This record gives sequence, C-alpha cells and structure tokens, in this order.
Amino acid sequence: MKVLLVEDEAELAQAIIEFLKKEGFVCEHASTFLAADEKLELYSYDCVLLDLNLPGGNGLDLLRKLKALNSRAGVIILSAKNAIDDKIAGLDLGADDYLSKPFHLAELNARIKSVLRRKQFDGQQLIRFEELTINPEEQEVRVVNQVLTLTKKEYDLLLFFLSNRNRLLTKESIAEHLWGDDMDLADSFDFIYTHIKNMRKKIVEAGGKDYVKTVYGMGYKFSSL
Amino acid sequence: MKLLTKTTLLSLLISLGVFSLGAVLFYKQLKYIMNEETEEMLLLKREQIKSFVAQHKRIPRQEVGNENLNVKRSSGFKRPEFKDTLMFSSTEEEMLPYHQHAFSLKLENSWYRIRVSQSIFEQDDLVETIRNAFVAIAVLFIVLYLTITFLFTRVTWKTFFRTIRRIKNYNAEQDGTLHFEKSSTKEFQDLNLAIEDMTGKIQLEMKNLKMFTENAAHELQTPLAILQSKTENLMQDTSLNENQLAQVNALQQSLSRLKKIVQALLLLTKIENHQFVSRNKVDIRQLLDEKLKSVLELADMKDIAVSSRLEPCAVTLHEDLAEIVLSNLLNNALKYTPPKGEIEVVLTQNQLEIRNTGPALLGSEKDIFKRFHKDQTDSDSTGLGLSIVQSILQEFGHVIEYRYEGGKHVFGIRFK
Repeated sequence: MKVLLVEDEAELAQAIIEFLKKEGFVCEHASTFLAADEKLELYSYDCVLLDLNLPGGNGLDLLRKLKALNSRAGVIILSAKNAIDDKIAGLDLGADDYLSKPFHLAELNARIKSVLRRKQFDGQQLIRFEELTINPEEQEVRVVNQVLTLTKKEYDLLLFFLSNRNRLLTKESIAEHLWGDDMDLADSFDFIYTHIKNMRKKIVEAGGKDYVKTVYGMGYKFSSL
Repeated sequence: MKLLTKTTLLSLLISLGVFSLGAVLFYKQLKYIMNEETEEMLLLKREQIKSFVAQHKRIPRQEVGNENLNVKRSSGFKRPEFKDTLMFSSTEEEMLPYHQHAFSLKLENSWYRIRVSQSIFEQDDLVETIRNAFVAIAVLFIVLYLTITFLFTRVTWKTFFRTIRRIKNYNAEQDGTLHFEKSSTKEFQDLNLAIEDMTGKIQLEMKNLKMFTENAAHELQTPLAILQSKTENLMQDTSLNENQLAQVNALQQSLSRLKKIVQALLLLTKIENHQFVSRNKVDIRQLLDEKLKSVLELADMKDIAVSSRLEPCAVTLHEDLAEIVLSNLLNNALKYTPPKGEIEVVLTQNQLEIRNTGPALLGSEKDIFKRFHKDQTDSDSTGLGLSIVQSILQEFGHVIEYRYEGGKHVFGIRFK
C-alpha cells in the first residue's frame, strides 16, 4: 500500500515514516505545498496523510485537488489546531478521517487501515489472523467457524490489536482509541485490563489462543505465539 | 430619571419661576402706579377744595349722591391721611372699594375734617383683567415651549438612543465592527465614531487572541506530537533491556500528562477568550443519557451503584463544551467514589446535581475549582478539570457549587 505523507515538521515526518515502513507501507513524503501538489499530480496513492498547516498553501486545497482528480486515495487530515471549523471543512470536502495532533501512532495505524478497507475493498475484505477471521462490514468475529459475541468495546479492542499486531501498545493509546475524549475515565482504573481480560476469555473459550501479551507496566502486545 | 424628563422638568421649573416672579413684580408695579395716580388725583381735589374755601369763604356743598366728598366738623387739626375704604356707590348700588384722603381745614375758627374719595374698582377690574391675561399668556407659552422642546429634543436625541440600543445589543463575536449613519449633531457624531473605533479594536483584539491560541496550539502540539511518535517508536525496539524499557515507559507517562495539561490550558484559554459561541440550546437530558451509558459500564466494574432521575432540560451552552462539563463531572464522580459506593444524578428543568459517596476533602472546599488544585497529589489528574467546568458554565451565565453533605460530594449546577 502506497502512502503519501504531507507534513512539514521534519522530525515528526521522520518518526511517522519509520513507523509506516515497519508496518509494511511504501511511504513517500512531501514537506511543502508545492512538493505535495506535484506528487499528487504525478502519482497515485492508496492513502494520503495530510497536514493542513503547510508552507506555501493550505492543505485543504490539496484535498480539493485530489477530489478534482477523482482520486480513490483515502485521505486522513492531520492537524494541530483541533479547530472544529477545519475539521468540518475537511470532512465536508471529502476527507475520510481527521486526527488531531498529538496522536498515537497506533491510532494513526488503525485509522489508515480502516480507511483503506473502506476505500479499496468497500469494506469487503476479511481480516485474518491465525484462526481468527473478522468481517468488518458485519462486525463479526469468528474463531475458525464459531461466531463470537463480543461487546462493542471488545470488538473495537480486537480490531485495534489486529491493526497494530506485533506492536507494543500503551494503555493510553488503547484508552484513547476506545473512549476518545473520555479516556481519562478509563486509564485510571484498569478498565482496560478488564475489557482485555474479557476479550481474551471469550476467544479462548471459543477455541482460540491467547495472543495478547502483557508487558508489565507498559501495555500490551498482540502477536503470534 | 430619563434625560428628557430631567430637561423638561428643569425648563418647567425655570419657566414657572420666571413667570411667577414676573407676574408678582408686574402686579405690584401696576398697583403702585395706579395707586400713585389715585393719590395725585385726591391731592388735586384737596387743592381744589382749599382754593374754593379760600375763594368763597365757605365749605363746598355736599351734593346728594356724591359720596366723593364728605365734610365734618372736627375738634382740631389732625394730620392728613390716606386710606382704602369700602363705601356704598349710588351708581353701582353696592359697596365698592374707594381710596380716601382725609385732611383738616380751618374756616373762621372752626375745624373741619374733609374726606375726598376716588373709586378704584375700575382700576381693580383692570388690574384683574391684566393679571388674568398675563397668566393665560404665561400658561400658553409654557405649554407650547415645553411641547416643542420635548418633541425637538426627542428627535435630536434619537440618534443617541439608537446608539445606546446598539451598544447594549452588541455581541463581539457575531457583530463585527459597528457602523453608524452620519449624525448632524457633532457630539453624537463624535460618540458614534468613537464607538466604531472601539469595536474595531475589539475585533482586532479578538482576532489576535484567536490567532494566538491557534498558534500556541500548533507550536505546543507539534513538539508533543514529535515526542509521542518517537517515544512510541522507541518502545517498539526489541533490543531494549528491561531497565531501558521502564525509562521509556516513564517518558510516555509524563508525556501523556503533559499532553493533557496542554489540552486543558488551550481549552481554558479559548473559553476565556470567548471563542465559543452558543448556537442553540443544548439538550442536557439527552447528553446525560448517553454519557450515563458508558458510566454505567465502568461503574459496574468498580461495583458502584449509579442512580439517575432525569427531567427534560435544555440550556444555553455550546454542544462540545456541554459534553466536556458532563464528562468531567461524571469522570470525577467515578474516580473519587470508593468501591461499593453510590453515584446519584438528578436533573431538573434548571438544575443538575451529581452526588457521590466518598471521604471528605482533605483541603478547603473553596479551593476545589481553582486551577491546578488537587485535593491529593495524583499524577493522573491535571487539576484543571473543575476549573474548566466552572469557566465553561460561567461563560454562559450558569453557576456551579460544591458542598459535602451527608458523606457525599455534591456538585450542583444552577442553569440560568
């Protein structure tokens, strides 16, 4: 999957690119409006990560250009402003998602994968991991052939793990993913721990294996045994 | 008292004063002149009588029906005097006022007291008429003057009243710079220009503040984003030993804390710069309903009982800010209620109360809404949650209070 990162902060761009490469994406970078404009003109991407605060122009104009080119790329807006106007404008213009800085890379990862699923396969693609099969459109999880009944939070959690497999996920990033702005609620009481515990239990009871590893004091990792 | 009333009353008082004084003086003057004239005539008559007596050596005969002359013998000389008296007038057949002069006259060793009189009732009538006319003119003048002044002033001051109304209704976020029509009155024109100037400055200030908070947000959040991403990547390095991993974890924790504080401060700044404008009324009951669903889930895990009684309630607020208020208060309730405790939420048309069981505060109740105040050191808490709640509510005119009652923390919001 080809991703274009449009971001002017060099250090941040470097961190994101390092991460995307690890996740197996082919990654390109543009740090100015003109450079991004050119790249979009010449190449096609599966996903564009767009910072709105660019030197030389407004990121929203790039978005307009993408739409004018009838691009099938998924667009995720990254912005430091957290300004509601920007958010509404971006989504109105056809962006697929909006993330405000600072964000967890794990969250970005989950969002990219979600957008790709929607854009590329119209949500049809099944996610497979070992004996687990997930149908995102139906929000259905199977262990081999048995359907699991998971709560919404447990489902979201599993999907998050699967999108970020083999990555150490902090409690914060999980909490933010599950509860968004209410994350304060969750990370104080090991609510996460309970949700994870329940999720693991259900998978194991259905015959699956427990792929969640607790990294003491830090967080969790979902990986093959 | 209204300006118009004040000026009208003043004009009225002065007019009345001037006219009253004038009337009195005029009346007195008139009477004095008339009096002088009468007395001169009486003195003239005296001289006439004296010449007659000197010439004819006898007292003039008192004609019948002529009450103007009255002669009586007297014992001796008495001083001459003037007086007013009532006498019967044969012509008018009633008692009328006369001015009378009495003097003593000697004729062949006999003293006589002679009284000459002049009727003054015609004069009195005249003075009456003049006086009435004067009063009528005065009243007419006052009424006309006041009415005209009143109407004229109202027209002239219309610009001013309009300006006042516009200032009263001025909403800095929505109205932009105020512009006024040109006024023919210099002072009002000056006033309007000054206000245009001032609102222009306010708009500029607001724009600058907005830009400042946006820039601050960007400048603060970019390094935070860099820290977050790099720390997260570092965490993935499998070559780190346990100690190094623990360090990275500590970094991540502090970073999370910092992120929360920056977020909270930026929000507070925006609120206090009035950057949130209420668009419509917010349905608090619906919001609470939704929030309570997640609260219930989490309360269950902590073995806390949650009860709620919600009535319809819609208030002036900003949708996102209302969410923040409710989240903060409910989160606090969940956080500070010990296991097996209770949380109660009661919502009425204009009041919301959230109660939770728990130990009393260590510190003072009045500090609870202060920025960065934490009752107990807790690295998870920014100490800004309640400040934000209070700022938000104050911005829209609502009031929040805290009390500890019956073993429960109670937060009460009274909506405007």
